[in-house]
Amino acid sequence: MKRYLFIFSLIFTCLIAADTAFGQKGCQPDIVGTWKAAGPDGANPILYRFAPDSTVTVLSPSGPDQSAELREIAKATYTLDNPKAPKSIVFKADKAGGAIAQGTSTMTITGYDDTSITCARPGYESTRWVKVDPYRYFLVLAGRSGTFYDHSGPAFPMLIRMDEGKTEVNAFGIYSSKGIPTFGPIPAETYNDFMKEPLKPSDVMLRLEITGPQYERGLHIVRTWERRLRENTLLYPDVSMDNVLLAKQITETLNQCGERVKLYNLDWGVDDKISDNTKPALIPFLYFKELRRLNESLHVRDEKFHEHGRRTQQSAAR
Amino acid sequence: MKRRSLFTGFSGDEAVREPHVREPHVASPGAARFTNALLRTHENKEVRFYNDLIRGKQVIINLMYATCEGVCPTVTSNLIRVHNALKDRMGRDLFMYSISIRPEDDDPAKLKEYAEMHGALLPGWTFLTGDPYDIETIRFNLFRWDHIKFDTDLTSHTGMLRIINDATNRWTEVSPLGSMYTVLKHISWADPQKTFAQMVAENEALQKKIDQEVKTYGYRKTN
Repeated sequence: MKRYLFIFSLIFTCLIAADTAFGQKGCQPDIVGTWKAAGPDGANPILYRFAPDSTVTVLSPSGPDQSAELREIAKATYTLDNPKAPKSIVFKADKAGGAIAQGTSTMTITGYDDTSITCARPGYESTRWVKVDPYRYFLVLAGRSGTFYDHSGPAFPMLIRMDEGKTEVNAFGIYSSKGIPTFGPIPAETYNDFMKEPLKPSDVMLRLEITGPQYERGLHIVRTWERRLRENTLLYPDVSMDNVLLAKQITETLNQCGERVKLYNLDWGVDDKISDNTKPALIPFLYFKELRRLNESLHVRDEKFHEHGRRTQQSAAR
Repeated sequence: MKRRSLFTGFSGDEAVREPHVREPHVASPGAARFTNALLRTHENKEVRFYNDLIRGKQVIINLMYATCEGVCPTVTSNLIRVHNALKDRMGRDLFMYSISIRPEDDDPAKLKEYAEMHGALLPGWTFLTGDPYDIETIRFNLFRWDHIKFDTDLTSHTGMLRIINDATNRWTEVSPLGSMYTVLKHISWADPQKTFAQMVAENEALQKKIDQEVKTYGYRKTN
């Protein structure tokens, strides 16, 4: 009996470990893009540029200096065994280069998350590839109280993408239009108040640096709500409820590929103190306030945020 | 006529099932509430949700997904019992729709396989899939509880039946896990209004039955 119990526990543990190694449910890595592989000391970086047409180009700096021009050292075609949850990549190459052997070779994927893939091949140590992304992404959760008659105010998530000196903002939620709560794309004069940290006690703001895939998932949610507004297919008759759902969706998608932020369980359950006896219009503000408290260490302060902006501009200038 | 033949096509016995489609009630919310989303049946036919499936009809709608191992198989087997109890009306003036809430996984072939496996390929019963956006809209419009926990939990919707009669604008809801008597009673609340002659005939038949019971047992057994 004890032996069976032990074997069962072992199988159960292995299953859990496998699940963790291959990311969370709904986590689908996008192999297309440029991935950087480096040795343990960061030396000899090699870049793998995966194209949507199933070709991969292996690049390496032409000199010892890492900023040296990149040269192509190999080219191959690639196939994922299962694009939704890949466990291996099969390469077919005319010549060897990087970790790709000449002919047909298989690399096992032992783990992945939003920005990295860990690969192994027989006879070698496993390698971690990190996605190279020229952009910086942020999610700002912004809220204000005391604007409307019910003491609620504008509350919205804001997605920011920075590149080449350009800042792209997508903000959607509740804002004030001539004093009336309105659900839709947030006007610049409203979201600009939250591009810097607010000083007013009636405001709350949590600014998180996020990954490209987190940004894309968030943007997909925003685009869907834009479509719902356009096609008159909002999910609730009360837009305050739609805004609660939007806030919940966009924050919960952050952890779709591994726990990145500490979430508050906004589910109107017995442990949910925010929505208990609170009008829906006030919930996003209180929810963002609680998330700020839970993720204080992740909040990107103004100096750091603007530094990011400057760094992006500098790298773009190079 | 074209639409009629489209409907009879779902059931598989075109010759005998001629749907009795009425005019929608003046207060019917129509496509604005139901949406006219393009869905696909288990027979891989395109249908418009309001115009082809709801307009002027009495319908029983439930949400499901092919891989659901919780309450779904029990619901499906109970729905088969409901179908058996109302088989004379099914496909004529009463229709059953099972909508997949995992449309990205459930294509028409998968739904047909599910229906076949559960013995649910029956006249007037259609399994549906579509664009996730449209399914989400339909799910909220028909099954919303205005409670974030239940509205975001897909599985919490698989245990309810929505009964709508667009010709009388009557809506009811019942758990398919309830007794057959309860489920049939709820469905009857949305039935088309009976004529005076129908009501008299039904009352006469009931009285006859009660009289017979009193004669046999000495008391009335029928509820």
